[in-house]
Amino acid sequence: MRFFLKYLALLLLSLAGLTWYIPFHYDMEYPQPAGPRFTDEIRKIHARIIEENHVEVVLVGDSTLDRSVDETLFSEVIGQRAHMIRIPASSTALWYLVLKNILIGETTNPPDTMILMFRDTILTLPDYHVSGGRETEIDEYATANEDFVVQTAYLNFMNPLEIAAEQYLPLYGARRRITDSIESYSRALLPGLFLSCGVECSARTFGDVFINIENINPDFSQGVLMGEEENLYTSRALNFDAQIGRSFLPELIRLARESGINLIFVHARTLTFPNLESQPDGLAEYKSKLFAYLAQNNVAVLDYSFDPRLPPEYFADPLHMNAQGQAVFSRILGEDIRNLIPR
Amino acid sequence: MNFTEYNFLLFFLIVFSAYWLLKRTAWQNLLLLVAGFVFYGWVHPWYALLLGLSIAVDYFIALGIAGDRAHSGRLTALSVLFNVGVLAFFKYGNIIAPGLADAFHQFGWEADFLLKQVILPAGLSFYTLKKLAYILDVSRGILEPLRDPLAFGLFISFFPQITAGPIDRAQTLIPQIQSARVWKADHFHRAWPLIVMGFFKKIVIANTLAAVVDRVFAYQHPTRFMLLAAGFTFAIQVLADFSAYTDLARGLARLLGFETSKNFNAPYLSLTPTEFWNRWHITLSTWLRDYIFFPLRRALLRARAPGWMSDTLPPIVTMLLSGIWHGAGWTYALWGGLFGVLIVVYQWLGMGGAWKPANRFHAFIAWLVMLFILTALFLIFRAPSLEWLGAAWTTGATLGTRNELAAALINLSVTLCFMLPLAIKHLLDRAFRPDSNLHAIYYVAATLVMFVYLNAATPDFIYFRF
Repeated sequence: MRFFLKYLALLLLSLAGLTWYIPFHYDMEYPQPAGPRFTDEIRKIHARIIEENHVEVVLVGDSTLDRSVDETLFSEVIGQRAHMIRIPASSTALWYLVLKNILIGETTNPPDTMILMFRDTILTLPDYHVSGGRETEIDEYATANEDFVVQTAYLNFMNPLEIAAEQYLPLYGARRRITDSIESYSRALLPGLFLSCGVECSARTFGDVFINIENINPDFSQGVLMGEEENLYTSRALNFDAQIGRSFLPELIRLARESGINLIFVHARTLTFPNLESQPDGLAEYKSKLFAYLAQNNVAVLDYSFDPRLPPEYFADPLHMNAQGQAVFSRILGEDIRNLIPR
Repeated sequence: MNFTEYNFLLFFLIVFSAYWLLKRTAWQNLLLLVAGFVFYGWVHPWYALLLGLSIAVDYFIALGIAGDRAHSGRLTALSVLFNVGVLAFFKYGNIIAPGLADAFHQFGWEADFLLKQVILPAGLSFYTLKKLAYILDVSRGILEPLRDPLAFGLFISFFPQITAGPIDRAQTLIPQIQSARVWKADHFHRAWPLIVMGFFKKIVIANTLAAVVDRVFAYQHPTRFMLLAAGFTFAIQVLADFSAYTDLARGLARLLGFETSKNFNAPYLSLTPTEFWNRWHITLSTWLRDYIFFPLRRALLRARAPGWMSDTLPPIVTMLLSGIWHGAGWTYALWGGLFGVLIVVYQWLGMGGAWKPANRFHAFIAWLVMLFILTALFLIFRAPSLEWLGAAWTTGATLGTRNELAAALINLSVTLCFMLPLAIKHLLDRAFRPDSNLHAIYYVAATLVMFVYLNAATPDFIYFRF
């Protein structure tokens, strides 16, 4: 018993010391609010392009949009000025911020139409692609006051212990900064000794060698990609009724409507389930509920899930089209959108 | 459910509180049995169904063996076939099925149903070995079969052990299941250091090293130096990961009043392959020794096989089976097979099980050679495929560009820094009493670092896959 008490006393003493020292060292509030903290800085480039070019149609999405639509060709087909905001590995939290803070918040003349490209359950999965390095990306579109985003994308998915630890245990709250510095020093030990490559040089080298997409084995990156995609097909993700209320979708629709932006959803074609027969029943049920919900809210949706005009030859990998596919799809999408946008 | 998940914390708190509130052993056992099924069926309820079915089959077979000794051989063979068959179906089905479907197709039978992906239930390999040991011991007459289905069910489904061992024998666990258990403060005192170390090794060491190792195996053109560095890192990662799981399993079992087996004893200090297997995954090694190695060697001796055969075949076959048990793939088979060959080579060199180095210099050289061999073998174990490894080794540069050399050094650097706590703990355990002030300081430091590395989502333990 004495040994455990000794451990406990030392632990509490150390925690008390660190609880005083860490907020002071990192200039943190105490207690600090749980969830990520965003700065007020917003990426303004898109707003500037929209303003300067009098853009009428904005397309928003992740890398599937990037690789399947050619902005110039699409603009030609619809006969209006279009701009694409393509953010790889982005999801609804970021798309919501783009609508709120860029299209509405940063432009004096918001575009007439916002086209949002999605796939499967992503629209009702608010915690998809929001953690890790993606927080930095989200910060580029967030203001310092994003309580709804923090609650919807983060706090709703944290357990009470984690929330309490983030608020009252600065050692836990500052964990990213602490682990970053532990790891940067531990990386630099041998390169510093043998190659005179210190902390910054080691960080740069690590990024250049291991994080540069050109150096990553395509099989591995595809494996990681498809592994991430599995999150879209869990029983939780497929439960439309349970997910809709806790997602960004109702807020996206409301914001667009209130600011007079015509919101159009586009379901991308991917090869995860290339035809109707391969689509799991749960996903079919989810989609029919989603489309019914959008119809009920008078939101247009174009579904290319199994479009026979987009065969597998048009794809570079299960999610992304190749140049040929992009050219064909830009035209198909443009023609369909032309009928849905005000002229 | 994973030991490092929040859900498990809640689950364990409920089970632990209810368990010690129950005074009667039978009720405690029933609670643990139900908890085992809930724990095991948490992700896929059909896992629990498979577990229940599998327990029922072996329970009745064991009773049958004891009741009819004349036909015990047939019943034993039936159990072995059943257990190995189920394991083979789930573990190797995805590899064998396309070939089978092709063969059927040649005869004009369409068997596309065979091509459906089969998911390996976590822990199946572990509880299969537990059941096989039980059946074989009953068959040999060295163990009386359990009449109490509840006790047998609990022996197999004991939740701290079910997903990745230790593979405790019936002789160790069943007497504890059958005896009365009352709460003692000693349970807690013996458990908490294991739990702290388990979390620390998994969350801080194994997960950090995993990220480093994965980068090298994802790299398009790794250099040879990078590969060796990654092999070394993976060796440390897998030790930290698996011994973390074992520490947690043992700690949780102790909180429930059970004493379970130790699985690791500083394996990377081994001087020979035989010594390594006496220190690494000890419950698997002893299982393989008792149920594969010894019976095979005895059979060869009885059959008056040539001496070289009875010396070489048992270690090679045993280690090959160990490799295949770990996974379906040539990398695992080669890893195991090479261990077998190494054991034979070391025996030929006079460095078998009883070998002792003449002096410290010899010991140091033997350790260095063994460490290099282990690094190379763990590189094979971790490689995505033999083709990948062969191509990377033959076409890759030795040191590569300055950036690639720096990247390999970064890999080694992180490994050295994160293995340091393991080395310090080993030295502390050797030099001081387990309740020394330095141990207390070590556990405090480990707990604090663990808070920093804690994250809501923790990757699964590596050995869940096997």
